[in-house]
Amino acid sequence: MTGAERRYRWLLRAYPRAYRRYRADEMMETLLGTSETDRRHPDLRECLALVVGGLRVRSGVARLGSREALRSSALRLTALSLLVCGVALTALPLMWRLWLLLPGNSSGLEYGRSSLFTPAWLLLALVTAAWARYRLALVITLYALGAEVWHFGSDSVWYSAEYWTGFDAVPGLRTGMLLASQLSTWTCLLAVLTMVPLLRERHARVTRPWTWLVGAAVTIAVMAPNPFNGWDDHLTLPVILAVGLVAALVGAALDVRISIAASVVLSALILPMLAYHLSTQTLYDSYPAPRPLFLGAILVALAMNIAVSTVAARRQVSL
Amino acid sequence: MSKPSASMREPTYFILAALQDEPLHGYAIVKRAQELSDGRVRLTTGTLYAALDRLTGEEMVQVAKETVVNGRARRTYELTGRGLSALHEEAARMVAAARVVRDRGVRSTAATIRTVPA
Repeated sequence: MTGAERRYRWLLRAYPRAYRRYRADEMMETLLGTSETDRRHPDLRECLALVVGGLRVRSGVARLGSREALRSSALRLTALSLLVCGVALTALPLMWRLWLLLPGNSSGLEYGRSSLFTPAWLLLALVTAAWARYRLALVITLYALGAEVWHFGSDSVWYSAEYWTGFDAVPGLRTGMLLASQLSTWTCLLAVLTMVPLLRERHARVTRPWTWLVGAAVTIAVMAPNPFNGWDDHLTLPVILAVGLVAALVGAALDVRISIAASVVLSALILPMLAYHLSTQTLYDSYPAPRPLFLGAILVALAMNIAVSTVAARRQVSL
Repeated sequence: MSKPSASMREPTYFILAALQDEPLHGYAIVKRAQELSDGRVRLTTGTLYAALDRLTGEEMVQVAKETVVNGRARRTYELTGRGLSALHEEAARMVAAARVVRDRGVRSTAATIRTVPA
């Protein structure tokens, strides 16, 4: 086996095993044919094409034959990612409170109160959506949203919004602002909006729906207190934002569905922060601060990324 | 199988064009597409097989023969009737698009000749 052949064999590992079993020999023949006449070593263009091609076959985007199928798949991926994000984020305060209850953890850290119902409803919505029962998932997500409204409307959490007493002149405005600054509200809302177009889809057979439950469990495990995050939550959100931004920007080259889902999930994370800063700014009549402007700029960039990915989607399914 | 799209990407067009005369294997398709496009279309192996997978799925191309050369499987691909008609449709679309520019060019040249004094 020559050096070039060895390198090509290694690059072909980007493709799934079943695909390699069918195609690897044939692709190797073509690769060696082109390298014999054109170049002695694999060039960057050929290497990139192999890696991108392999990852596209792995992600399944190569099998989506039409724009409609790609649109439906992107909506499903986005809705499920939002629900995984919602389950993880709403379960996180409970995990931290459980951790603080353990012996030796009587630290002064006061973690935000949370409803037990919201993560439970969202987990149920995730299960039903993963099995493509979108109508039921939509109703359950609305229940989760209702649980959030009920939870934040109750007096028990108003202590956390004491600095917004200025909004009390208008009934319900303080609760509204409190809800708008919650991650769970935006993940629920965006998941509902994403699932609405899926209601028109005919019931399709889905492959490996349980992977979404594994994904939710892994996300919670990564975000919950553990030795890897130093039993601290300060790095959780920055890491999620960094990973999401990379997925949003790089995903378009490989699979537009990843880019669209990552952009929407990131928007769901940024919108509550923006709502919080804007409401505080309005209440205290302060000058525009750099942080809301920065968050707004990221949101605009994400919206543009979704638009560009939608256009790129046509290219990914065209012949 | 979905309806063929209105316009075809250039690599796909030249892959189909390469196969219109005779069935070819992967490497021969790359070379033929490069010849037909005057060296403009240089297909990478990743692009070629992604396109062949899609074209096979759309029933525009099919495997004509499978042989073993140097201990490796080699497949030869051929155009189907559907692939040939898609290629002709695309060629007709490009001719019509080119005509829009050419006819306008001829008219404007004629108009220039009429207006410029001798």
